[in-house]
Amino acid sequence: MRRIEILAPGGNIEMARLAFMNGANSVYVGLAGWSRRTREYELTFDEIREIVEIADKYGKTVRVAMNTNFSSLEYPIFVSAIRKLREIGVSALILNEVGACVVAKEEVPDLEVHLSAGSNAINFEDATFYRSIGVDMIVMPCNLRPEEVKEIKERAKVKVEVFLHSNTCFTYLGKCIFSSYFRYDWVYDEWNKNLFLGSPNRGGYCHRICKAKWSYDGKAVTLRNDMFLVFEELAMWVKAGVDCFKIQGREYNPRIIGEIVAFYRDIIGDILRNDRGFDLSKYTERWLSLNRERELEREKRTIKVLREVEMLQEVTNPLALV
Amino acid sequence: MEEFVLSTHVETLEKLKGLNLELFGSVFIGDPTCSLYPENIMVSEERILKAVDFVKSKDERIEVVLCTFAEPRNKDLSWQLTLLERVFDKVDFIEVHNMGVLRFLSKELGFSRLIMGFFGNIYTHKTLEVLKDFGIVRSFLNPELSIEEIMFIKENSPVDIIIFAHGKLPLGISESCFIKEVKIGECRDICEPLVIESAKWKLASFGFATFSAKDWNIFEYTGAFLLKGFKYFHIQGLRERIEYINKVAYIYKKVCSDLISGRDSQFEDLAKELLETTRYGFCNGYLFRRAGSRYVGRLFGGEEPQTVYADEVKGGFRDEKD
Repeated sequence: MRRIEILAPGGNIEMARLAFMNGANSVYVGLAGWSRRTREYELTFDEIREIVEIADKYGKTVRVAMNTNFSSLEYPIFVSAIRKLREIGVSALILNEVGACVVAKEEVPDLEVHLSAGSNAINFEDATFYRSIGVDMIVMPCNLRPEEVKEIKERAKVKVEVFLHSNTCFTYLGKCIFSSYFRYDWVYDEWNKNLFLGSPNRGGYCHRICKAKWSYDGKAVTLRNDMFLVFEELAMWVKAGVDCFKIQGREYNPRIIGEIVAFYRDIIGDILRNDRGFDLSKYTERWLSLNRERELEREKRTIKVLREVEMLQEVTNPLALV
Repeated sequence: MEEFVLSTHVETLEKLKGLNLELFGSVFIGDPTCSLYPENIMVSEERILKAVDFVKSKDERIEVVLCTFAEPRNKDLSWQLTLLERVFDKVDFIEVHNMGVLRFLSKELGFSRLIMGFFGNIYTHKTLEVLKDFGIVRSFLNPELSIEEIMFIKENSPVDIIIFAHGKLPLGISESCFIKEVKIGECRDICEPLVIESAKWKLASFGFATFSAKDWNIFEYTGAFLLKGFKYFHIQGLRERIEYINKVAYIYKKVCSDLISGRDSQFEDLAKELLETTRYGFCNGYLFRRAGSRYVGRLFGGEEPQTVYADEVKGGFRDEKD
């Protein structure tokens, strides 16, 4: 039977443990200062080492997200970090920078390089480009449809990873600097890594400027920010040839992540066993329940973010002129 | 060739004909943000050839740079790549924003006079090292980079850097047209920039792309860039009136010429003229490690550079990221 990988978030050690116990094949974690999440949900080398040890016990693997557009000036510490991660025993790096992908292949050739969704590889020529520089797997942007992903996989001959649930931003992911346009600070951590506060592309936190109350000509307008859920089309995505399904949520409650992993392990297994006779309806109630819990978690985050946007508007220094 | 080259984007033949070509060494033909933009030069072989003829008939030395669609999906590649196959040898350079289009031009057509556009997300010299092998000879950089990062890239990369000198700053690009969400009608009738507001913030939607409402401005730092050996300066012309583009280009050409020849430039007068061209003010914050919407400088009511750096402290700021 075809094997489809389930990749779960490892926002902390407990989350990673529950993900493995519930059937995740692998876990991704963010190295402190280097991923597209806040420090709270990133891990140190020691914590990553602990998760790798847990993964080894279960026969599973760990990927590390360093998927930011860091600075040219930071390449020496990038190289030092990826060498250390190799020693720790991680299986793959999730990267965004073209240069970083090539440097990683040179420095730690036995690690796989996975291209972050933030690189926005949106067509088969993109995927062919990234494959040609050594990328092993591409995380597909949430804007794409199953038939597009199928064509990308077939024509570029590269492994593809798809989010099981996420959001599509107002812009293509990775192609937006709204946040840093209004707030951007260079602040360094204890390892001399610039956190680029305000720039999600560079590792800082996205202030979700698109979620502020915008108006045009005195009338309220909404900048689209749609949910992306593959549940109802999961069989189509499986048929499209997806190699890995990714569960997002390093910031969620570990228990919910464990339950989401178990749910998708069951349903994907069912689809693979029953190619023609698969019945989605028997999973709907469980999915709705899980989705409600996930939405509550997300809602908490959204409220926090919107408050931050309002506060940011108060402190942003407008141009003296005009 | 002069010691500096000014460039701009023009979307249509009509606009091209209004351009004062004496001011420019390089003209980017087409609008890379929207393939549906009425009369967009870059989507029609006939318009492309007419544009090339027009520019070359005025001055053979002016470089014609053909734009390509910034975010092509699989379905867009069919027309985009077919068109490029027909016209690639008719233009001096081709501007790409997408790695897939870049790969196709470089590896399938053997074209090696390529310019990486501002949606290419170029942050590091290492990325440019890789892209040099794909025919990139000149590149825009992501606006989030600071002066020292730009300098480092210039000194350590094998390709020429284009300085985004003046105009609305590209902040993001989406998969759908925001103007069509707000207005009802045919593109021809409704396509004009919308300025959306949220408290003190303003953004300009060009449809698929979102730009700053303020004008990015390096005017008072032009001499510093010239002194450091930068040669290519870009005036952002998309969705701008031709009078604006010609006026801004005239001012930059004057200040560059005066600085290079050692003539006494009427700097303050030129600054006043530049001020008259802006509606929402100026910004340049990224150059100084600050939010892009801020303006740092002696002119235009800007913040003093030294006060901007005064609060920079290394370490101990991790909680700010959240």
